[in-house]
Amino acid sequence: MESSVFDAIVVSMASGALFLTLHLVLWQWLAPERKAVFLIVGVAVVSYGLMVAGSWMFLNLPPQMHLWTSGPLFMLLLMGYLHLYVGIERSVSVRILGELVRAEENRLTLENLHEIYPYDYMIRHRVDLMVETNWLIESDEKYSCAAKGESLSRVAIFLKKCYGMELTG
Amino acid sequence: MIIELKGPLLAMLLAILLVPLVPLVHMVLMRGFRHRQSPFGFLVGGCLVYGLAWLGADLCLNGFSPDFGLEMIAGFSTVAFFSLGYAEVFSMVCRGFSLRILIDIFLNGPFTMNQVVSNYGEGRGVDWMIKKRISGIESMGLVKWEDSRLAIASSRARLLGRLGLWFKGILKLGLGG
Repeated sequence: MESSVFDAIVVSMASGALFLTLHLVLWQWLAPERKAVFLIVGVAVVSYGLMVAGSWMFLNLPPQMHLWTSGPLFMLLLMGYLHLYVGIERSVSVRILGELVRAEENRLTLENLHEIYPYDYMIRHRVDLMVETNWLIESDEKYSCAAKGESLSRVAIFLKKCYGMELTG
Repeated sequence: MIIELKGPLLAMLLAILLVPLVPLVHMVLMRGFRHRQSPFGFLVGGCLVYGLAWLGADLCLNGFSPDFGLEMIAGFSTVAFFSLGYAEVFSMVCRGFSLRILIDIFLNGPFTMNQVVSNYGEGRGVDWMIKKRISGIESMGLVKWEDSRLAIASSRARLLGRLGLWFKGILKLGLGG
């Protein structure tokens, strides 16, 4: 039993290491607009698949010995990493902290912050991304929801009511 | 190959079946204790109930089998995976910037870009959102006001700021935010 637990943990950790390596290498080359979360998940699936196949071929470790344990463990590691990635990449608070660290004496007025991190930029790049991914439609310089944007908005409004939340964002 | 429904596979499937407990318990706590204003605290409560329910169900169905270690890893990993996933979904609903833009446009659009900015958060504007974010990190002790200038408040904040810059630099993510 201990050997199976060890095998499962090693397969997960090794898959994680392979994933991080592939992710880091790919991200040096890819254009920013292609660096999507779906691609990270794809790299993770490939990494885990390669590690399972490799351990079967070279270490005589068949998948059924560890799959139901190494799989969930690897998925947990991936989910934790995605939290970190999305949080650091998209977070307004993390960006503000980063600008304060770079600033002289680690201090900024709100006007300074607005010059470095324009509020317009915050909105524009999110709106542009939503147009690119078909959540929004641009027509005559006006933005409206695409069909899936409308569906998501309805779900979000419904969930807000379920949680009893007044205002979000 | 026959797959037997026991051990780690059963532990994982139980964890998947019990997932609806997290949002249910969370919603009940949010509505029942609305005055407490602790959405993420209640989320942790929901996840704890989920984890305990899974543990109870697993011990009932699997007992203390020879694969106990594998079951615990499989089950707790699945519980933690869905808990983190739910936390991400809730965070988007509660604080999501892009989702808020989408909802504003859905409710009152179509908007020009300037209208998106000025109407953000049901008309409160982006300034309101920035001040809300700053209040949030101020309440966590990460920043403080010094004579109308925002300043780093602790070494922890400096470390977080540097970690964010380093991470974005290594992965060439640009400035982010």
